[in-house]
Amino acid sequence: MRKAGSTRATAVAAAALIALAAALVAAGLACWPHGPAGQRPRLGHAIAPEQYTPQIGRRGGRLVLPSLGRPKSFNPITSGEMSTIDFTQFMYLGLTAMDPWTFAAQPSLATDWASDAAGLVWTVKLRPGVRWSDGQPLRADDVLFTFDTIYDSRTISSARDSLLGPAKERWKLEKLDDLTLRFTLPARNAAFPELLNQPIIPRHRFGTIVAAGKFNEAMGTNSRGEDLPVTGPFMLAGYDGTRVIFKRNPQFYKTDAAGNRLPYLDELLWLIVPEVNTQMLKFRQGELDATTVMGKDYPLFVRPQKRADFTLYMLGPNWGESFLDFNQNTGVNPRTHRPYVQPHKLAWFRDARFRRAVSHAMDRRFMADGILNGLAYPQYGPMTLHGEALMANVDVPRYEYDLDKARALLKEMGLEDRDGDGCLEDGQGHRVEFTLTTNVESEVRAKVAACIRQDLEKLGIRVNLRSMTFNALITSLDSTYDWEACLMTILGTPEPHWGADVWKSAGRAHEWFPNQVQPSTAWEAELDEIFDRGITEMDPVRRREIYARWQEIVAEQQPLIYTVIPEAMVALRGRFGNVFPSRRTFPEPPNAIFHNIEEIYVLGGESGQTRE
Amino acid sequence: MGAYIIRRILIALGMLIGASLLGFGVMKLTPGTYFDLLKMNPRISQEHVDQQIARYGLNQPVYVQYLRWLDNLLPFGFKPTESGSYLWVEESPAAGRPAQAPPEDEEEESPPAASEPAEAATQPTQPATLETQPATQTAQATPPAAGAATLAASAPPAGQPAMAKHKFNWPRFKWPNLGESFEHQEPVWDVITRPMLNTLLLNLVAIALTWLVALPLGIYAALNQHKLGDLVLSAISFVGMSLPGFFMALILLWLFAGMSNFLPPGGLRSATYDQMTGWHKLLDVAWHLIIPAIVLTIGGLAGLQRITRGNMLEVLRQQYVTTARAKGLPENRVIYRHALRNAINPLITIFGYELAALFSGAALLEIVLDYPGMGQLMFTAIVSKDEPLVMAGFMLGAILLLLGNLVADLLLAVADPRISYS
Amino acid sequence: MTQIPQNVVEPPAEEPGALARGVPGRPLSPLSIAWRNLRKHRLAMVALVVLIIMYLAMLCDGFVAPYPYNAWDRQQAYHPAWNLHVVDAEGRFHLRPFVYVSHYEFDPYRNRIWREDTSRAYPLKLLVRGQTGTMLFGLLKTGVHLYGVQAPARLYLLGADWQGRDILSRIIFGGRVSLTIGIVGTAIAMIIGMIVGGISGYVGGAGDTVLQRICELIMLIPGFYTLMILYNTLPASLTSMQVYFGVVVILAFISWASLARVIRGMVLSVKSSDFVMAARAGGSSPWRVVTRHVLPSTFSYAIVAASLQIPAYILGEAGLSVIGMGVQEPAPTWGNMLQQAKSVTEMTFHPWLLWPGVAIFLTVMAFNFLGDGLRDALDPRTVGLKKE
Repeated sequence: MRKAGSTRATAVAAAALIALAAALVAAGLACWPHGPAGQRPRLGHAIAPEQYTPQIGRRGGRLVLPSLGRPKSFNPITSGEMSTIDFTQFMYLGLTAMDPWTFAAQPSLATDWASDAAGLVWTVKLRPGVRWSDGQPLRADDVLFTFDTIYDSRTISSARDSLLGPAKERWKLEKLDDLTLRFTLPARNAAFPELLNQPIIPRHRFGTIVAAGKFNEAMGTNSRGEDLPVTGPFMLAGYDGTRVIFKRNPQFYKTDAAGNRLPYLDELLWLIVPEVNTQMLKFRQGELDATTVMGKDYPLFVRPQKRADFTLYMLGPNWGESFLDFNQNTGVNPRTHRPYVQPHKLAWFRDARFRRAVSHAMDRRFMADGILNGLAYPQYGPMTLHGEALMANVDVPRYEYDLDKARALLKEMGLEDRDGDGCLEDGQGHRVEFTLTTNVESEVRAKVAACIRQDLEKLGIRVNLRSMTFNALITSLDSTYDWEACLMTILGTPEPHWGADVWKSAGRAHEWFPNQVQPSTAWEAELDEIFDRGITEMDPVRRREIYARWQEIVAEQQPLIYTVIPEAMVALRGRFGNVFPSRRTFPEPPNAIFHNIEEIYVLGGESGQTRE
Repeated sequence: MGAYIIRRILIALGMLIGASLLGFGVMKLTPGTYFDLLKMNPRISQEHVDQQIARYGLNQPVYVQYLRWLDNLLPFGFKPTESGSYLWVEESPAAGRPAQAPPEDEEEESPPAASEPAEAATQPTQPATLETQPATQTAQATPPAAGAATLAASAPPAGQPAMAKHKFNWPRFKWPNLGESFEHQEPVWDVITRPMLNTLLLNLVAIALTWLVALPLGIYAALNQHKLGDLVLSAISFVGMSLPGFFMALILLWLFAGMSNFLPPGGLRSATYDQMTGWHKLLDVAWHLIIPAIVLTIGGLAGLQRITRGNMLEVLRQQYVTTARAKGLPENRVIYRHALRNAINPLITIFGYELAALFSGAALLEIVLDYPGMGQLMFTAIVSKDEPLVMAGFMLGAILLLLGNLVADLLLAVADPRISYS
Repeated sequence: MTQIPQNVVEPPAEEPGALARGVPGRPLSPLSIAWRNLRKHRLAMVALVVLIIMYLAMLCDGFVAPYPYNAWDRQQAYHPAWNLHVVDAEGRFHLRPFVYVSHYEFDPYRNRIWREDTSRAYPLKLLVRGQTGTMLFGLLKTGVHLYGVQAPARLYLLGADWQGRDILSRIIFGGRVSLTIGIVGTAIAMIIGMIVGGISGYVGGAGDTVLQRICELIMLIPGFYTLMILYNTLPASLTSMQVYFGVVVILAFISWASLARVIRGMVLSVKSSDFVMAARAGGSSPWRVVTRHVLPSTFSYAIVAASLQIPAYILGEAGLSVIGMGVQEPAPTWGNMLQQAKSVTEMTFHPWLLWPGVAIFLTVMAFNFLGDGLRDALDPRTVGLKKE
């Protein structure tokens, strides 16, 4: 068709290409970080509890937040997912709540709780004058009903296990009067006040539904706000698939110093934005009022911009545990009669020296620099980054980056380069090599895995990377046990006992060797004993000592080789008042800022400035 | 024509069942279930996970799961009973067990010859039941078409005979049910409607833009063959055809949402959407559509422009155009009355194929641009193994492809009088 | 990316035998006629040259690329593109380009500020000895590179990624996947398509109906969803080589059916043509008829279709890789390299990560031009036109 003009067409096409290429080269060479002139945003930090001095605010306005996931329902009992709790935490209060600074239990719907000398019988007093959003008063019956619902075997509840005693006995609840309850526990439970944080649901609304066994389906995402009476500061106003709208609960019990009923904000609105990346851009364009910021996006956030009308809060390390672990399962696959892990590899994996050597070889500093722009902290034990938590022990052995020590440890084990090919071999000539599995969904973890691979390459250990979907990875960890090493992140917990399933040898989440009948090592036996003792010890000081030993053992034995934890960063528009960021980045960074959501208000007139 | 369409539809139904088998089978090849996600949370008990798995029947053999899915989907079928039997309802009030039979179950029927596909399909689920059932049915035929009304009510069957008996579970009309999404814990249909409409909106806008731009450009290029305009257009065409959509999307994002704040970085509506008035709402959606629609349009533009140009050139060479010119008709009249019509007619079928690609065509772009459409929904559903959702999206895509092909064929018959389907 | 099923070339419906018969009066074989026609198509020739260069670079990747694909240097993470100088720190001009050793530090805003150590210049050298890489798909080892600079300096013509790996080298090595996937995939689809289409068209009857229904079924399933579902079925224990073949097979799986249908149509029309009739009347066995007469006449179509389908495979692989479903790191493919550039922060601060997209674009464009030229060159109608 085009014959004659093809030379000229070539010229035009070539010109177009060259223009495109030139644009890219130019872009590549230009130094964007110094780009547009303008303001840089303010940086904020967590404050001390004594600086928490709320002002009298003004009614009105709304706060637009992002959410990565859609709510699965508005049912606080049956949902275990974070994406649902993110919403329901503002609707339903528990008897106690977590203190934003000390992580201890603080009064919420209950004002007071006390135990008898044996620690088995607790008397809990409800706050008088609390009303559900439909006007009904909160009564002890609601609490009884909530616990009955959780214990009801037809209810799908994630909390039931933690509310059962060692022998799976229920707590006994009695109503003393309308505002007083007595809990009788089958065994002492030091975490009892914290466990009272179960969201209380109204009996007058759900009584018949639970009785009919239809509670699991109740409170779905198509519920109407009027059908979900709440005690929290906000109630559901609407959900349309991309936005969740909450409106102010006029019956909320708290008032400010001047006696005005809280909350100040009229509305909370979540925009469902499944990509962190897009959340950030939407915040920058002014559509969102707050967003979580990842370390790698920090330069973009602090880049000078025309209207930098926000503060970027740097809140310290996230609550999480990011680690590499090795499969130490000594079991044999019942179907194939082959061991889950090849015996020679199992011997390395079960040797603490091997794990320590790997820990020494990990350049955590580079992981922080290369992946998160230096906005991350090296982690050495379950709570080394959270000295502020009551049970934390930051004084544990640390295996800092030291290749010589790593080599020495490996040599001591008999792993050395015997044939001069740059790879280590063990006594029988097996090349030291293993497969490291991550899940494809997490970009940061994939990069950490790549770093570990390079780090161990320097020692002469070959690491094959493999990534699979999260579900497949869990299946592998949890039922087929056909993995060698794995990179994982779990949510850390300020209360050690909540992680008991991870640390006790019989636990399902005891990742490196789950569901053991008998602890396979002495230190695992000691961990079992620590967690059994820790929960029944009522004296906080002695309890602290018990759990300090746990953290020591974990650091020494390195069953989990910790990597890095990112800095928790949240950006918030400057037009809000009463912002008192705490360090409670648990479970997610925004919690540190929105712990006093009812007191946050929209500053009048002089928007764009934060309160001094 | 009518018979042709009916035959096509019948074949199509068969094809859809084939496609669903294929989709379901392939999906089941992946290890793990959606609920494995829950296992990682130390505060969620194994019991809870097992409960969820049992609730959705994921612990049953794959073929049972498929048949359950198919049975839910068909507009007629059997109500599964608590005992697991599809074909037979066992009633034994003496055992004290609450009757699990469907409410309108007073009718009985002796087993008819397997005529419904669903019935044939469900038989393997309960071979044992079939063998062991003595013919104890009391014949009391009632019309099977019980209607939708009988579905909703679930009044407990009262006054049942005291002796245990087995009754045939007669297929009856019900609303097709796509199941419940694991992840969203609500009916798949509710989850899928909005993304589906968003995807349709994006694609229809893009198709409209493509045609509005490509036709004039194609005609222009043909009328100015080998001139500068034609060359520029054909160079742009080749660039447009060769530039991967996702790459173009990334560059536009970089320029307009990263380097500057001109255009929104994803989504379809602003947070303040509900506070806007009608006119602003429309503008807001249009503003969000700019990047994805432009990328899709440029991708489709190139091909269509070139085809239009080729067709037009071919037509202009035809004798009747020469004749028309020789007759002394004005050039405009020759081109727009005679040539244009014949050049555009064959393009109509392309429209049908575009319709067919509506669903999964823009999937990658939607994922890259964070557009709240089917592509993104399916991506997360596939990765997390939200099976009912995956199957629904898969089947909707297949249905649209079928319809699109049908429309293309019909349009071709309309456009080209030589083709007839009678 | 999803053009795969739609990329159907119109078979030359009229005069299907024209090519096989050759042009009367000329002793030239059809292939040499086609080559003559193609050479007149300048754009296609340019494309052909570009492609040949690319494939040569891909075959000799270890030699052409200054570094092996997995050669990392963390101190050089995100090194910007083009560190070649001709003017030194004192302002003197050097004919031979050189590089300085550079390192970065974070400024308070966590931007990487690059400083060059101007005390020593490392000139660009040809045929330089460096880290050992592999070429010819890993069959040969080479320590010599076409160009490079002496360590510790590093040459970053197109910049570096987060591990300090040279983007240009990775693009060249990425060709191993991205440039071959189209050819392997098309070959697989073509073989299946020819077998199924050939049988279907030649045998006809019930077998034809069954095969046609299967083809329709494959064409009915929504392409991209199927790609994603199928990718997820690949076991995680696969090596990157196995994943590569998995992806090829998946891509071929959803695209063979349309080929088979078109080939069936061509076989049908060839079957009823005079020369096949004559061969059958002459007592040739069906096998001989098919292999000697029927399939060769569909061959020209096959070539055109192949050159037009290859881009679809390249785009398909890249598209899957961009959303994380493809050959995994550290093996480079143009798609998984682009995946790194996907976030706006990366694009804003390290736009050189977008270069693999340009490589995809160039390759696809070259194949489009070539396919266009081939279609014109092999089209019997055009052959006829040329004669006039």
